This record gives sequence, structure tokens and C-alpha cells, in this order.
Amino acid sequence: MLSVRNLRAGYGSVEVLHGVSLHVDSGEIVTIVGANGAGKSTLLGTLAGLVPARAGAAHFSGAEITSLPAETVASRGCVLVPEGRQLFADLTVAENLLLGGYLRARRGLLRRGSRREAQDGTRHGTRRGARRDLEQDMRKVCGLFPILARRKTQAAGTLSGGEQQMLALGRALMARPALLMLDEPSIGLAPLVVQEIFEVILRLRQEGTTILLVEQNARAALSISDRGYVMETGRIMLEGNARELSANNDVRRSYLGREYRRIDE
Amino acid sequence: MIWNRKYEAMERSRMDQLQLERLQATLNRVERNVAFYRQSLGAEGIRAEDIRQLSDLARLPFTTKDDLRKSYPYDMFAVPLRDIVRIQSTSGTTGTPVVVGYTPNDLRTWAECVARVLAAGGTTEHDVMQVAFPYGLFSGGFGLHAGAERVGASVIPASTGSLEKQVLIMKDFKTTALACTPSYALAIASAAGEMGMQRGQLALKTGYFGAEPWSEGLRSRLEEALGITALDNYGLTEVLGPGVSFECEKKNGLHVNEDCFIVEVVDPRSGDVLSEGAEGEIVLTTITKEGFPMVRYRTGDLGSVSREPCPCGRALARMSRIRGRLDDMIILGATKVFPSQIEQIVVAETGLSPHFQVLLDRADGIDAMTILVEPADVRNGDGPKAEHGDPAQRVIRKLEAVLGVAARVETVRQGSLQRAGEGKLNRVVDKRGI
Repeated sequence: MLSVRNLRAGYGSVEVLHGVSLHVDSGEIVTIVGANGAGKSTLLGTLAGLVPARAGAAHFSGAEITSLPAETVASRGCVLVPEGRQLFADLTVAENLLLGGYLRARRGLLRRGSRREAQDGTRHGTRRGARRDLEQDMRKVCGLFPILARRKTQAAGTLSGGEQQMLALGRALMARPALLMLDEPSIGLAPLVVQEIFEVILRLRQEGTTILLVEQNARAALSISDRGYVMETGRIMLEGNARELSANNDVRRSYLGREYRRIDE
Repeated sequence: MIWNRKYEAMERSRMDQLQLERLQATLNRVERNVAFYRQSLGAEGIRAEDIRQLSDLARLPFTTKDDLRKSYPYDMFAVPLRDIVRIQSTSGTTGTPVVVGYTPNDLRTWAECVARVLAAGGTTEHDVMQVAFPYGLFSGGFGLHAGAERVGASVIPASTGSLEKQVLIMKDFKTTALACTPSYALAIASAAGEMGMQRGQLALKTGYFGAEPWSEGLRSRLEEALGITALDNYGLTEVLGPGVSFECEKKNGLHVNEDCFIVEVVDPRSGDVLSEGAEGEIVLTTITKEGFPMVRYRTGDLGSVSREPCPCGRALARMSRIRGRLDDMIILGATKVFPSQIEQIVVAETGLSPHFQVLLDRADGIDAMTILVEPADVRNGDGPKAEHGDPAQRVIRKLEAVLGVAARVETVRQGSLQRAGEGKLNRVVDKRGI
């Protein structure tokens, strides 16, 4: 579904990604682990179209997305849940969710073929169809996260950390992603909440969403993943199935940052 | 049977992507962790990140046996010793041994690779597998053992030793699959004959032979003598052990485990990468090894590679059977010939035993080859001496006609030539003082 080759990106004069290659097959959960500063967020940002790629190529569902603007990448079904949630704090839970479906609603307005096409083909009819789909999806998301249903009219900024993460996830789901990219979903959350979030991620995969996860919490992320990559200083150091990666001491070293001098220490 | 369809039948473009990712990760790791690679890459002015496609591999310098000898014991290891859970080494008969190390993941991958070898021959949990490779530092014993356990066969770690014991185990323990060197298999077959073992007393079905080059002629001989299907498999301790490539039931080349190794064929003199189908030196790059990764290792083995699809259903590229080791190539004047080619001719003579030895001599500045052969031992099931004429004469004629080699053939006393025992067989004695 996603195929990346030799991706380079950075900020200003600093190159952060030094030729990253990876792939995600349909239906997989793939995790990228690595310490702070490894370039994981930059990788997702580049794939999402938020950071321009300087070299290399990324293909999503057969089409190249490397130079596409962020909203186009998202509208194609490759959706990012950014690090730190980045919710609209003053808007309600419901409004945040609705905004997640913005691109679909907009498409519904402009395109003629909507599920409930009005007989006279007026814009009225298509907008209504799109709106109906969105409301259905909102109900589905609230079913996935009952806490969001309860807090529907609350301002997003008043939610707890875990609830905010769920809202961020829900918002991304409103865009009906084929590939969901999650940047550090467990950051700043209590262990029990982290467990809940990962259980939800597993359920999403069961329902057909492909997941690309970026995490410092390698142990938790790998426990639900099929495969993983280890990133260090903008490079992929290791690729393997989740079990192999968990058994690899470099994985632990890469986020503990331990150094060794001699081969027989 | 295909053990792991996901990788063995992986569509080409996906395999290319996988190989590229794993190659890049391997290069990043060795550049950072192995001084030798840091230096060899640096000397060429190449950084790991410069390798952007599989064909860029040709830009990287080779790793030779000599490089490995100079790194004795642990300098090529890419992880700290505390992450290494197994150490194996080469025999060191030709110089300083090469020491290799495996992490837990490496051992798992190794077992997976060998499992594919055995599944290709139809070996399953219903089989009783006798591993008659030496167990110890040599990677053959442990390699076949791990693969056989992975497929669930009942593994007998027979190792090498008394031939009579091997035969008794085969009979009493009801061995269905045998793994050893082809020359050792020949010795076991001879011993079985001497012990008066009848075909019906043995349950053997399949033989997995490797660790030395062997001819089609020897394959027929072994299949006939033991009543088995004999399959070739290839590997070397420096790169993994057994499990790098393996024959399927089509006996049409050895499928390379390409999700774990990238195979190239190069001109032994110039080092240039040769095109598909051309014969040259096999060069291997590991892409999953953690403890002891190898980049462009010159194996010293002569063969070719084909990407033609195999009717068995695997998409893995195929290596030809190894013609010989470059080191073993006999140069006689203007002619080049491999022991396995001589084997092919000797072994086809039912009036001769399959054992032979090559003596090279120089008299008055002219190189001469003498091939020592033994008459067939009918008891051993070597075959009736029904053919007319002198088999030695036929060998001389065939050597001339097929290989362009003029050699003397001497028939010596039965049983006087070296048989396979522990370690590698030394079939060529070169007294020319070169």
C-alpha cells in the first residue's frame, strides 16, 4: 500500500532523513521505533506532505505522493494523527470530529456522484448525502470511543490526555483513511490509557485500516505490530518482524542511547 | 512443499523493495559497527546512504576470505559479544579459521532457511532425520539440525564417526532422511553394502547433500545405491552455514533465499558483475544477519544465476550447481578442469568404484596428470563388471574427448584411496611445487 525509497527531508539547511526506505502492506500494523531526534516525526510529516521531500519517492496505493500537498495526500486516504494531538481546543468534541470529515464533505459538495443523489441533481441533494455519511461516521466513532459520546458538547481542551488522544484518533477516522499514520500516540499518557489506545488500534486494523505507527515506547508498540523498523539519526538501521525486533538489543539500545566501546565488554 | 510461501513465492517488485530496505539497513549497521567496513567503504569514498538501488551494490568493495582471516577472531562482528549466543568457525585447514557469531534472531533465521531446504525435499514432522554432518564448530551439523527441528522431524544428531554405526542407526532408528556430505554418503553406502544391508531393510527416502561440489554422475550413483532422491543444498559458514540455497523437486538449480541474501556473479579476475546466466564467482551479501553481516563476500565458488521462473512455484532466483571451487581448479598447461568433472567421468564407470584421486606432476617442464582409480567392489553394490574392455581405458578416452585432458589412469588396490571421514576430502595431490 505504501512504498518509500531513499526519502530525504529536513528543515532549512539541516537534513534529517538520510535516504529512508520502507513499505507497509495492506492490513499490516508497522511500527517505527527510535529515540528522540531519530527523525520519526519528520518521516511521517514528509509522507503526509507537511514537510517537503528533497529526494526519493513515496508511493501510496500505486500513485506517487512525494510532491503532493498535504490536503491531497489526506484526501487520498493517507491520514496523519500528529504528535501532541493538535486538537482545536476551543471547539467541541463533536465539532472536532466533524472537521475531521471536512475533505469528504467538501468533495460531496463538488462531486456529482454521492450516495444519495437528489432527483434533480441539485447541490442541495449531494450536500445532504455527504452530511448523512458524516453523521453516520460520527456515530461509529462514538461507538468506538464511548467517552467521546459522553463529552460531545465539551470543549476539546477540557478533556484528559487519554481522551484527547482518542479524539485525535476519532477525528482522523472521520476522513475514512486507508492508511492511518500515528505519531507517538502514547506520549504523556498513563500506562493503562496507553493499553486502551493500543487496543483500539488493533480493532481498527481488524476493521480494515492499515496502520503506520511511530513510537518511542517500543515494547508496547511492537507488541501489537506485525513488523517494524528501527530508526537512528535519520536512517533505517534494522527491519524485521515485531518479534525479532523485540528480541534485538539494538532496539533497546536505540532508545536508551547506550554506547559500548569494545566488542567483548 | 513450499515452507514459506510469503517469501519463496514473493512477487519480484516486492522482493526488490524488501531487498533494498534490508540492504540499506545492513549497510547502515556495518558502517557504524564494523571497523573493517567503515574503512573499506571510506577508502572508496562511499557512504551507506549512497546505495539507492540494488544495482548500486556493484559499487561496493568486496570482502575476501583473507579479510576474514585478518579479522580473527571477532573483528568482523557487528554486535557486542554479549548479544552473540552462538559461535561457529571454519575448519582452518587452509589457514587461520574464520570465526562467525549468531544472535538469537540469526539462529531463528538460520533454522528458517534450512527448514525451506528440507520442506523442498518433502521432509515433514513424519520423517526421521539423521544428521551425519560433524557437530561442533563446523556449521553443517547444527545448521541441518536446527532446520530439521523447525520442520518437526525426529532429529538424530548422529554426527560423523563409525560408518557401521551410521548404518545400524539408519536401519534400527528407521531413518527416512539423511543429511551429510556426498562423499560421506558414498562411504555409508559402501559400508551398508559390506554389512550386507538389503535395500528393503532401510527406510530412506531423501538425501540432502552439500558442503562440497558433487556431480550429476555421483547423484545418480547415490540415488541408486541408497534408493533415495538426492538433493543438493548450498551454504558456507562465512555467510550463514547451510541454507543459502537449495534444490526443489525439479532438480533444476538451487533456489536462493533472496529475502536473506543477495546473490551476484562476478568475473573472478576483474570483479565485474556478470549478466544473468553467465558463469563466474558467486558473491553473497547478507541482508538479515545481525551478528556477522557480510557485504559482497567472494565465496570462491563457481556458478551462474538464473531468474527464469521455476515450475515448482517459487519465485526465488536459482543458482546453478557449483561447478567447483576456484581454489580446486586444476590448471594443466592450457586446460582448466575441476575435480567434479573428473568425478562425473569416473563415477559413470560401473566397473570402477566411485573413489578416485588426482596426482599432478611435472617432468622436464611438462605438467602431467595421473588419475588413480579402484576396481568396483561388487559386494558394495558398485555394479557388475559386465562391460567389456578396460574401464581405465574408457576413462582416458573420455577425459580426452570431453575435457580435452590427456591423463594417465592407474588402477590401484581396492580400498587404498582416501574415503570421506572427518573433514574435507583431499582428492588432488599437486606435486608440481607451484
